[in-house]
Amino acid sequence: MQPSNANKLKPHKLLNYFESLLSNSLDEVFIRRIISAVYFSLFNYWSIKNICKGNKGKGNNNDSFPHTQFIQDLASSGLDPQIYLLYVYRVAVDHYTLNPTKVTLTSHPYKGRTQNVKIDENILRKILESAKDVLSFLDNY
Amino acid sequence: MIDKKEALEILKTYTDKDCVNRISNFIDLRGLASIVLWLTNTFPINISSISVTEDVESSQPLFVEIRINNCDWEEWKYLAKYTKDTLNREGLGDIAGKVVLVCNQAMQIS
Repeated sequence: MQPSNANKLKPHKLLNYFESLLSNSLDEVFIRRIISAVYFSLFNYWSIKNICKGNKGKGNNNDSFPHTQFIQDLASSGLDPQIYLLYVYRVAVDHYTLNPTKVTLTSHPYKGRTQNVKIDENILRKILESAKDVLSFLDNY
Repeated sequence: MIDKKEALEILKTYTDKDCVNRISNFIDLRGLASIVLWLTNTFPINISSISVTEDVESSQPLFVEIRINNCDWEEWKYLAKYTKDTLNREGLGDIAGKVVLVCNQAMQIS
């Protein structure tokens, strides 16, 4: 196996590119896919940082990490608003179809806890801003 | 540290019995109640509810949400950072990752 290099999965260029697309009247398909890509590019970067630190994930190459751990790592450092926003909207864009909609955050029998979401350029701007905060943390992780 | 009975009394102010049971499988109730007590004694905040957010794909608990009223995005960022820095400094890093502060109004982004 090749030695791991976190630079290969640095999402800085991708996030800058997405930022450059703002104010271009993006349609909802673009916004949904960008939000999902932002979330998982941060997750991939966090995963490879873990490998570089010698932490082991699952799988034959120990390179599969749970995203629960990703969220808890960020929450532990005080990035609660950023990771909450990223998580809720990532769930909304990948698992829900209507817009606006309500994302259910708990499963049966604890139904009832929901979060209103509206997928538009305003939220994309906020998500990119939050992603930059997360990136600053991950650069020094 | 507060005892379990006190912890249950505090938590039942913000959530129901079923949810407390669910939370107890994920996080130490006395630790959670201590955070709630510390938050309300340290900041002029109003906690509206406490619940568990579960992973949409695995249904496993992700974090405990402490919902707060009347704060904006910047106040939310400050509150979260200050709280987690304090918890980490006190050696409570594990619980810091399992609790997420959520500001209701700040999530109503338009």
